[in-house]
Amino acid sequence: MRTALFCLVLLTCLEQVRAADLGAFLERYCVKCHDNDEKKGGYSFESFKGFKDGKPEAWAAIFEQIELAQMPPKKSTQPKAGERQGMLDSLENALSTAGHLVNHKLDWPNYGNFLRHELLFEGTPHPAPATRMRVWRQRPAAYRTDSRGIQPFSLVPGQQISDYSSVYGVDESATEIILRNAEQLIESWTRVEFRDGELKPLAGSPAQPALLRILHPEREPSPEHFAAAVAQVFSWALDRAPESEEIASLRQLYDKVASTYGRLQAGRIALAAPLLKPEAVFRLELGAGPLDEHGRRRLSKNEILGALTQTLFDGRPPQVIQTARVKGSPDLSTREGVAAMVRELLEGPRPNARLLVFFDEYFDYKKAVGVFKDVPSGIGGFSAGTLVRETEKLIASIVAEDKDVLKNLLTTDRAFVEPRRANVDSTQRIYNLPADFKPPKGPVNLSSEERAGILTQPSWLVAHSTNFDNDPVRRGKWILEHLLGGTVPDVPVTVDAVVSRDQTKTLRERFEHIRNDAYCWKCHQQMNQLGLPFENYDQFGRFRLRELDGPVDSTGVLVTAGPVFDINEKTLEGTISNPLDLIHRLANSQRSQQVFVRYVFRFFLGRNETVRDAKTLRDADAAYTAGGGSMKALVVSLLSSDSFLYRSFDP
Amino acid sequence: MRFVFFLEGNGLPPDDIQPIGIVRKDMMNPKGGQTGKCNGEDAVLDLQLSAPGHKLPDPIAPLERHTKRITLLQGLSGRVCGGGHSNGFGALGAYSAGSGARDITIDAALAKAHPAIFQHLALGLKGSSENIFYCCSASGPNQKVPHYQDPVLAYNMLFGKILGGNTASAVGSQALLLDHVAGDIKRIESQLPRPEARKLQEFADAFASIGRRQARLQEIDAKKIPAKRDELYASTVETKQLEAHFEIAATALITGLTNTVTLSAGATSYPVWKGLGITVDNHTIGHMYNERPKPGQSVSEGKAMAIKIRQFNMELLARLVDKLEAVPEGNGSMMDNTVIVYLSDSAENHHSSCFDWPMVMLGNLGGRLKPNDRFLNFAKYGAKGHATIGMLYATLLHAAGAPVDHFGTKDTSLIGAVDQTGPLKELLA
Repeated sequence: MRTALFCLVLLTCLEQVRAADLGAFLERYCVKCHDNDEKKGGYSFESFKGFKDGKPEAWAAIFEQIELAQMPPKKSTQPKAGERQGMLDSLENALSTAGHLVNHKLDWPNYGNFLRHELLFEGTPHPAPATRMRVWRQRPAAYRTDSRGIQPFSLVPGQQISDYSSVYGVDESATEIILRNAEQLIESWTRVEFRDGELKPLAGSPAQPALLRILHPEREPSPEHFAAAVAQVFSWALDRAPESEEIASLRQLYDKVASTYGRLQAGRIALAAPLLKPEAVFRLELGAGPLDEHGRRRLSKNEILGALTQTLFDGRPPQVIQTARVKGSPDLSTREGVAAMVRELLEGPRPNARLLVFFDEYFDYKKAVGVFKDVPSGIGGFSAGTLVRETEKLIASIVAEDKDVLKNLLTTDRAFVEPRRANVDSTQRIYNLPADFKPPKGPVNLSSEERAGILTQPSWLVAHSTNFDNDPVRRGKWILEHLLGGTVPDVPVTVDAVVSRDQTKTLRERFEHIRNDAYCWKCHQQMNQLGLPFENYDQFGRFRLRELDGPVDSTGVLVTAGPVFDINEKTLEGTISNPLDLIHRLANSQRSQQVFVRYVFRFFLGRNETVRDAKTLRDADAAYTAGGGSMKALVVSLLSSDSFLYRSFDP
Repeated sequence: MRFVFFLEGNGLPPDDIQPIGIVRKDMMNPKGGQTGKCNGEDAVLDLQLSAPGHKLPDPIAPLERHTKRITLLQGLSGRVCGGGHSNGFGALGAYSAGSGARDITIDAALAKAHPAIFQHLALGLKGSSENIFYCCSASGPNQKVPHYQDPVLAYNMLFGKILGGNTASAVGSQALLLDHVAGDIKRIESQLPRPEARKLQEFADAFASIGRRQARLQEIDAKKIPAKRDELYASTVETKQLEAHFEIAATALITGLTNTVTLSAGATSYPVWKGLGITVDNHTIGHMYNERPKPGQSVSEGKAMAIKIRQFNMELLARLVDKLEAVPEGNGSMMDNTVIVYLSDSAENHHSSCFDWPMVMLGNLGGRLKPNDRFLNFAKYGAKGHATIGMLYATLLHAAGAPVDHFGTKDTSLIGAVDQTGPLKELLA
């Protein structure tokens, strides 16, 4: 009864929302600037009364501005959340009717920060977090390339977090490869010859005895043999036993094929079918539990174990998961039980590999390999690959300690330094080490006046450089987005960024022209001012106090209330004296920690956070703090949260 | 109708296709750039390619025997792609290179308009050990089309069932398998909200489409498929691999297995052309070629190597035309109903600005495009008579019977100066 009443209220609200009047919304919030006189941005809505008064392309652009809360401008009167959503629903409906597909950029990677931070960390949180029911294509690393055949999947480069469930489907090209892989695999397992009335594996083939029993061209396989063969493929491909209906359905397929094309072909076809099931290609998270009072369904035990496997591992599930499948413990029907399971999965002498992948993506330092198109001259023995390995080791050591992880990653003066093969001299030069330095096996302590954590590691600095110079824009943008939760609009297609290559001027001087162009400076001021302090390093990551013939200017300004990024965080505001000043200020900031938690959420949940996830994020932030900056505590909290465990039909 | 795209890495400089005997007015490239010049013609220049005194330049000289089928396209721009080393998916998508496979590319769009048993065959040379890779073709947002690099894999994938001896059994039993899988997918799809259900629908549609295509395999004449020669197909030498790719492409087109082929050679990558006696990678050649040689290297040496590579590729392209010309179709040949577009993913230069995007077009799709034997230079960027690659691609779709107003992203800097809607009247018949 309670559920029914709730649904009725919800439906009534939705009806009101859907009935939102575009004309009235425009009149109330937009016409003030977008009238016939001012026509800001080339748009006037003065005479608009509804959808038919504008072109669909223009409405699609308006939809994006309103969804990303770019409009109305922050200083203008804002629509209430329901009113904004109502407008979006109406517009989406009209656009769909007109045959236009609406892009929900708020769901896209790189757009997560467009959801304002205070909506997640202030006010009363939604009582029932959940993830929308979804199918999530397996990530390339999880597709077992060693034995499954050709890798059919790829990821989109340039995303802050690479694998979002909403981004990837499986199209015809990929399906063709998957189909071929399945056929080839079964063919290799069933390579046989018919000799003396018996089916024999071909010499040297990896033919599986259990499978051969259903391939005999003249003998009908017994139900037991058929079930055993099917079970073997299920176990290999899907990590589970087949249901009786599934065996029956495959038997029907076998019989159909056998009646026309013979038993050998029928056996192969029946065995290939499990490899093509949606769950062999997608991670299915539907929620098999009962509906609760909030309209959510909890994942079943098997769904939870599957989700944990695919979240924390590539390839086959570890023994802990396999044991839990057959045993009743831990009790996964409670949050504590799931948390205990996650804790157990994260235990071990070495950090969980997926945790390290998160940091690879978060700091984005591995793209250092490929920044320089040629081997840089004048720095013998330079190897971006070595720099990347050194940062990998540093991250792994700090994650293994599991104490104040983010703060240590941002501020440590430790580094791992490998000997260089071609020219040992470059080691000293890149890390500014003494001439007689001999790389030890363990970490070394660099000068704390020169280095502080990953953002001063040569790999990160190279990764955020160009082929020719430092790149203060990329460096500033990374800090703005990853530590301050800021947003940067898409680069307009009309922008043709050119920085002079005049080697008689410092890079800061060569960037001055951007300051004089109001159109550019609007977006760049808050990025460049965060990136320019890193002029204390050159594009190879070497610390320097002098540039050309003068001292390096490594100052900047942290502005948190600007035109494109407005968080108004007074504690962080002010002049930046050098990169270390900036880094230490951010490492001690509660906001930076919360933004970091948002990124961890995105990686492990495979989507952007929504207002509904506020409780999950606050709990995770609290668990991280209570655990003394423990990454494990943070991940345990996220993977035992309602956002991870519950599914809803609606967002 | 058949469509072939051939993308080569490292840029196709305007001079490499500029006919001897025709002078084009150049101007300083607004972005600077290493060539320092770009198309400066104030109006469209449209000349007969085979007129006395005209001759193809050395880099594309192997195409000489097909001059009457050629339309040389100069002066197109693709500023929306962004330029740089490679424009990635933007080269065929006419959109920003930095955004990955953000939408469908022209090769895939034409393949969708004229599907065959294999909707779209893409073969590519990267100079790596990967069997397949993704570089420049997409069938939709984030839906990259794989380029097969391993010729053996591509050969088996395309022709394996036909040559297997029992096509009917293989195809018939696979159809039953695909039906079974479709049922599995449908059961889950019905439980999902719309955007997620769409993903499974797409997966199911893919199986259905493959099933329909495979069912037609029996129409293919196995005798038209040449044997897989080990010295070509199993070779690790880049030139041999590319030769195998061209042979596969020709066979797939001639047998009717596909109507659309994309071939790539070094697009988004820098192989070493060992088979041509070259020992430096293509990136280094790009720098040498563009007046930035390293100490000990010379511009002329770079140009010689770049021309050698291009001539090899052009010979393969010329042989593909020979093969299509040899197959009778209607009152003419298969080549009469084909269009081949040769371009670089890196537009006009190793470091492209995309103010110029030279292309070589062969064939006119059975008269749907205006007759060839032309040198067609569009007006300079921003002038009346200028054209973009998006406008060219829209024109191809018009010719293919799947018209669109514009393909890819419109160049906002041209709004007001150039009408970017509709097909190019200079090309569409």
